[in-house]
Amino acid sequence: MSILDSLKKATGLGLSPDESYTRAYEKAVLLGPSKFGDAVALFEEAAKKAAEKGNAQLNARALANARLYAFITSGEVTVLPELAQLLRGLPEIEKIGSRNEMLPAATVAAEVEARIAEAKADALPFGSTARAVAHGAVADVFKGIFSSGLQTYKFKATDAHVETAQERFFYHQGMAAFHMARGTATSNPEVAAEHIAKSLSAFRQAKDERWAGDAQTLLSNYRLRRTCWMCHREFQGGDVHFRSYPASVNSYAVDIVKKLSQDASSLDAGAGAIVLCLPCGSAVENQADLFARERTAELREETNRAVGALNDAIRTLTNRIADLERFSHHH
Amino acid sequence: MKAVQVHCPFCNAAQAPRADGKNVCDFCLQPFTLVDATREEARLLEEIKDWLQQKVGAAGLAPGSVDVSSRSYIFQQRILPELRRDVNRSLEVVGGFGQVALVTPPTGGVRREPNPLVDARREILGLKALRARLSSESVYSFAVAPSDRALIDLMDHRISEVMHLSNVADAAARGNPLGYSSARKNIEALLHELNEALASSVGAERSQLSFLAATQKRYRALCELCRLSEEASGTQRISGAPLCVRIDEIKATLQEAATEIESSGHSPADAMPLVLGVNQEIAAATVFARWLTAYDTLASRVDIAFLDFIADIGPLLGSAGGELGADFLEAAGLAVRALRRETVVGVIGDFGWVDSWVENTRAKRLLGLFGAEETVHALEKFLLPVWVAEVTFSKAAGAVFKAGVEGSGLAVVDACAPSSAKVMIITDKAQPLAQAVLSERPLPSSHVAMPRSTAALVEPLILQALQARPDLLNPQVQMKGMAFAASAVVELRSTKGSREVASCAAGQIAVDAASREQVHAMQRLVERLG
Repeated sequence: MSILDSLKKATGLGLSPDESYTRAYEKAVLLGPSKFGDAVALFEEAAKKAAEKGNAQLNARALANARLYAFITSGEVTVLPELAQLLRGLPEIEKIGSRNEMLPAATVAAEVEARIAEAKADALPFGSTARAVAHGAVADVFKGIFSSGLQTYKFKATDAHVETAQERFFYHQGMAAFHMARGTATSNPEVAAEHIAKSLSAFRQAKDERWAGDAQTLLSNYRLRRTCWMCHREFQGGDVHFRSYPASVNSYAVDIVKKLSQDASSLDAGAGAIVLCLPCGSAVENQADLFARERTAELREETNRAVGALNDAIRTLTNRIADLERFSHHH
Repeated sequence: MKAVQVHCPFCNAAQAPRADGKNVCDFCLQPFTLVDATREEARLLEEIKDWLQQKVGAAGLAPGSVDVSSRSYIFQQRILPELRRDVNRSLEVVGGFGQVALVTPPTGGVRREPNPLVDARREILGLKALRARLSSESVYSFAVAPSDRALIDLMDHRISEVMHLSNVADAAARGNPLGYSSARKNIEALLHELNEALASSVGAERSQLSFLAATQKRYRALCELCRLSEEASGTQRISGAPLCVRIDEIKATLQEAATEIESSGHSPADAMPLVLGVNQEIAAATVFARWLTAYDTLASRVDIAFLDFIADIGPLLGSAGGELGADFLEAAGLAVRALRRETVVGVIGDFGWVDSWVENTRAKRLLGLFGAEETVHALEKFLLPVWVAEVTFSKAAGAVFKAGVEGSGLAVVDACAPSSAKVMIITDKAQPLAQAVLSERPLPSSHVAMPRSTAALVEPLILQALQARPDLLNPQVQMKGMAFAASAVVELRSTKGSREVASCAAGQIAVDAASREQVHAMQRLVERLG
């Protein structure tokens, strides 16, 4: 390569669109992830030159790469819709970090579309049915590229599922069922248990032990039934429709319950607790809260009275001292 | 004439008594005597009587003392709610039991996963009292309406299923022919119950029928897996290949069962954990087949039973069992096949550098007067297994005007004790070392070290090594296979003590002196397995 060519490559001046495009690789992409940010402007420059020369294909590819590298360096999701659109118009695109290895652009486009749907799902309230539906929609997108590897997640991800579309499909399927379960647990723990069982299965297939652990706990809780110690009604859904409350439980109480063939799981001598359903438990809690507030008000009143009396006494003493000081100055 | 039957005092399963009185339960494998069984049966009957008396009073127990409508009322108001509650509460202790594999075929060093069916064994065997209550004639006599009787049967079926499943998991976990035989008997009992349930569920919901049929399919496949495990764990030498064909069929059936369970429309809360359990069974069967294949490869020259092979190979694998163990075995199998010249491999076979390396390594007295003079006490030359990977990367080229260019090469790392620090990266495939690794030929020496790693374990180490090189950017790794490199370990002694030093491919590949132990491990393996 002549010095002139080297100078052209170094400055970017006088390069053809193809050369500009190659320059983005040589001066940024192939110099490693720390230079990926520089690739954005270089690809944009190549795109501009391609547009000026009427090379629409190169223009779209350069622009797609500019948006792709902009996303993986900044994580800015606003660039994704344009990136998806550009990729849909291309037959193939280079693998991130390489000039030689090509990938079907439609697969990368689907991944980008899934990312857009993911961002929408993440913005919805936790445990809502709307979020469940949104995660279901993301899962559907990943289902379309089920056997593909992922390209962008190794560079930008908020969870550990960065390798395959299959993993992300199961992860989102799990999230959809998880949020559906959380959304229905208060109205129907039986149905919630069914959703959370689906979620558990999906998280296991995604090899996500953390979420699988949470789903397992919820599944056990949602299926649990206990008889309320106060109203003797049986409720389903631990930590949702019934809860353990601290109480003095001794072996005598346990024996009585057993002798009467009543539900021995309503009380626990070891933990010192009894089970109350949500209405009974909340009634106790609310009443206790009301009593506590009333007593606090009473105490505050008593304290205010005492403080008032003390303030009066201080004021009287201060006045007397002032009188005595005045009296002593006169004499 | 009705055959005499005795109930196991541990699981309450009915079976024919042995003439010598020394019974071992066919289902839970617990030994018991006829006296134990009779005493336990009497105790259970007394317990049921007390319980029923509490519900209906002493007078209510006398035959014909309560009319039909009163019986029905007592059943609905006093007996059924309590039975239902007790069944639900008692099954809570085994919550999530569906998610685990029921049958674990015999493979080496399998890490035991938590399994409520085994972990809560005592509580599950304790369910026999509840089962006895459900199947008691006195309790049953209060269930006047057919629907009431169906409810009792359903509860009895649920308890019976859990007890049998616990027996299956516990027996199969023993990993011997008796265990697999007992596991199979329990599954056959479950299949019998399922057949009855299917026959009596005419008009039941389609989802229920599909679920039961899929479960039936699973149990049949597991029966076959038990039978196969029983065959494999016998005392005779077996051929793994035909068993692997049968394992493939079992896996296909289990896969069908999993799909059908999932799509049955039955309550997902019950169905989905089962799908997970079946998937684990498929994974366990896959590992089993890999162990059988490794057995065929490694033990093809000796008369050794499969379980003895597992026991022999176990210490060589250390803590790696199951799938990881199978990975290790495959790597060892490759080395053994190369050693037997059954396959060709990449070889760096030149030992010409060893003598000069020993001489340069050995400490010498300065001017013949100062310091300690080391002598060679032992020298061992061997072929070290190394993992080879294709690597691609980019790098900066040019002195003044830097530009990125793409390149490719090879990565080579010691397979006995790999680490990212020991990875050798060859960026030029024309190098003699790269050429030697890539050109495959029969192994020239019988002195080979045992590989102690797998390609899957080594791949991230190679990537780590590439990432640690600031000159190699955007790295990618693709594992290629195993090659062998000329190595030597020398033990040097002087008045100050002794030391061992190792070198591989004239110092080009990093190796530990401890790899010498792997040469001996391989020798022991070859001595045992031919």
